Amino acid sequence: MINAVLWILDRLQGLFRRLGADYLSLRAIVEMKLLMDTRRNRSTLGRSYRNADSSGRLWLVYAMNAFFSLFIGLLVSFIPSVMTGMTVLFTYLIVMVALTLITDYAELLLDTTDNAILLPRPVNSRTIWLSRLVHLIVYVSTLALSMVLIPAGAAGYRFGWWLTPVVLLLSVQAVLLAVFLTTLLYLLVVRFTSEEKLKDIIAYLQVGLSLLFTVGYQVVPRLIRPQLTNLTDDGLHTWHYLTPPAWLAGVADSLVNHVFTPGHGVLLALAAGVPPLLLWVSSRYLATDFTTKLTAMGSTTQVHTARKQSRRSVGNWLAARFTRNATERASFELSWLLTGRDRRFKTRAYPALGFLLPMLFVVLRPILEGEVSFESLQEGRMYLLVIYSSQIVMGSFYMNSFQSEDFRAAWVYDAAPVAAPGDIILGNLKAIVFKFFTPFYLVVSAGLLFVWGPQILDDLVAGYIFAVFVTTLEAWVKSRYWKLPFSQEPKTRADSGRTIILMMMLFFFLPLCGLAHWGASFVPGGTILIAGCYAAMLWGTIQSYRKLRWEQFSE
Amino acid sequence: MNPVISIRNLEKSYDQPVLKGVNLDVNAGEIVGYIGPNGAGKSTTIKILLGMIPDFSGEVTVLGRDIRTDALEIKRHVGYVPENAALYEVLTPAEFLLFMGRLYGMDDAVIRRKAEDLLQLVGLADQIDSRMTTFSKGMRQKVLLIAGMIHNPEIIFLDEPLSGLDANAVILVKEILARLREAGKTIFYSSHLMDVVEKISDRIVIINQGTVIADGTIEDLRHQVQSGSLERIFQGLTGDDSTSLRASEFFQALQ
Repeated sequence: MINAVLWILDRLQGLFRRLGADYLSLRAIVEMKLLMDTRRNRSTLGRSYRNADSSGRLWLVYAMNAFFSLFIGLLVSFIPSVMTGMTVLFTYLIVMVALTLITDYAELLLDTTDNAILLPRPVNSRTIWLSRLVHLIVYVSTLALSMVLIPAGAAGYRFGWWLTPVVLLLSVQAVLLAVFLTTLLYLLVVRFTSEEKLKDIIAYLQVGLSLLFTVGYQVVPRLIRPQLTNLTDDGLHTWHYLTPPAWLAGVADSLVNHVFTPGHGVLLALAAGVPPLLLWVSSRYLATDFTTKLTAMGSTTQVHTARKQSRRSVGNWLAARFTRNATERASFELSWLLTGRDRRFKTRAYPALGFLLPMLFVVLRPILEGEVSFESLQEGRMYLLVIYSSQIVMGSFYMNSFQSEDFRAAWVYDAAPVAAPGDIILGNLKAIVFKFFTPFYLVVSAGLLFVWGPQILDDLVAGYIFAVFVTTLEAWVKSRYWKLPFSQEPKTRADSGRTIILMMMLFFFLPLCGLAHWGASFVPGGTILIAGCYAAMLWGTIQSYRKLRWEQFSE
Repeated sequence: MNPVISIRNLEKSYDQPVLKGVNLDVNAGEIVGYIGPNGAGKSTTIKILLGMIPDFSGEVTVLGRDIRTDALEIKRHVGYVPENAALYEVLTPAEFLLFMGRLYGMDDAVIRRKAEDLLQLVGLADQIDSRMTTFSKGMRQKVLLIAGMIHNPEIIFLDEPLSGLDANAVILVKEILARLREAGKTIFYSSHLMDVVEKISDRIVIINQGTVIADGTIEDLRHQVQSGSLERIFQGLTGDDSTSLRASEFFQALQ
């Protein structure tokens, strides 16, 4: 594949020369980057793969993309409305590409580690910038191709083979849209900030965007669901003009059904015009600044940033009250500080909050659409679904607290005279419970109390204990060896065996407990009994934590 | 006098044997320079002495206690300054030292007072509440030095303690090590900087391919190899005397 890319680049070398790049250097850099891609553990959409032999790993990602695109292909072949089917396809493509970009963008374009290698060499900055851009486009295109090939084939099979190349061509526009929308956001951020804060802001941006896309991914299918059931074309709606995937779908619609309304003309103009416009805007106004700032970022080390940290925080106050000994307290405060400052943690853990919004959507949509009255909702026990799902958020925060960019710093636990490693684990667990889960749960509870009133207070208490209990249990189930907080390299995520157990937990254990709770809630005092059981089990796991020995921890 | 560190027939292998029967005694108040080529087993020895690697064969006692059974108690009385400047960068020195001190069971007020005094002495008073992300390698190394000594240990293990420090800081650290020896502390450290090892060590132990090949004062070693500087002695003992030939060949290949 690398050779194919280089072959294409060779054909385009005149273009690169005209853009001011030293082509031979550019070719060498791109080749090196592509080679590294096949060996690197890249986090694609938050999933990483262990590098047993990672040269085949990129192919695995492609294969998985192709597999998931099968479903999109099925939709495309079964939805009668071309407009709807194509909107689904392009939404999927744009969302997936944008998500990939958000998680990998920093690594791809903002990767300043090669500054140290490239800047001292006789290579000009435009060559470096262009080689990064070429690399990004190659990376994204191959990913997009693996996602769109099967659906494009499905569309061709159904509407005539001439449509397949058209869909592929429209996909190029879709990818460009995704790339430039993401780029534009990043460039804007760079434009209005100092390089010192850039990476921090990008971290928050990643959180925000992932949230947005997670929600979008959940909401868009629901928006078009009425049309899925409707199953026929019913013309264009206002929202078509506002959603980029619909622009592209409009073009396919015109071609397949031979409809050329003024509305379709507008969609065609948007589909054809907006991506080049974005390219022009981003290169004309923002790219130069971006390059200089990037170059500056890796090469300067500001030593004296007089940003003083305050010494007292709520964390100290809580740690003093809710921990049993000095080690536990030290671990609690460390987690409190690191989770607030570690970019990695923030970008990985916060998006989990996004799962809540679709949940609200599920609960509230029937009311909003008038299908179910507020009163009949109150009679049901839908709140249990929300309560039991909130454990996922707790689990996500907790699991992420075991990884850190500074994982090597965990040597301190080995060097220090810590008798009971369980103290370290419990300190961290408590910090996560107090800092993230409790506030989150309070907000959720407030919402549920608003609908169902104080009669569900006991259910809320039971749910809270349950979430913490299951989290302590997950650590038991998921690994042969125990791990210390912030001691894992972010790249090595859970391997597949553990993921399966975790999945079983999500799809089997959580619903089962929810069901038991649901049943018990019909019996007077049943909920209290359930809460008592959870509390007893939580007490049990905590006691077992306290008995942990160092031998149970991996090297 | 009983040795504070005693190593008998220490062997340790990962995929290949790293340590092949190391024997060594260190007395209280000694500064021992532990040197050897890359991969000779220096860091492994230190980690075993600290109780960080429990599976090895041979007998190791530190402060009269068996490292296998009493690691926890030993850890309370020894300090460690690691090589690769690994610390939680997003913390401030004050926060990091507070965390470290607590793991040694120290009182918060004592940790704070010591941290402030010690950071002041190494010239980091202004950065005490700044995140270490922006620190240079030398600044981080200073924080690690303090972190390794804040609990006032009897024995201090240092793995390349001077790497990344500027000339003034090197002098400062050397002075600090001399004071610690006066106070009866034992210092065991590994380094590549021969001239520094030569100047501040009472005793030099050279390890090569997993065994101790020389052990004595700098005078002993000079006598043994009939050679001047420690660099020459090191070269003579580790059997690498072809360097000048290889240097000229290297130069030839560039032409």
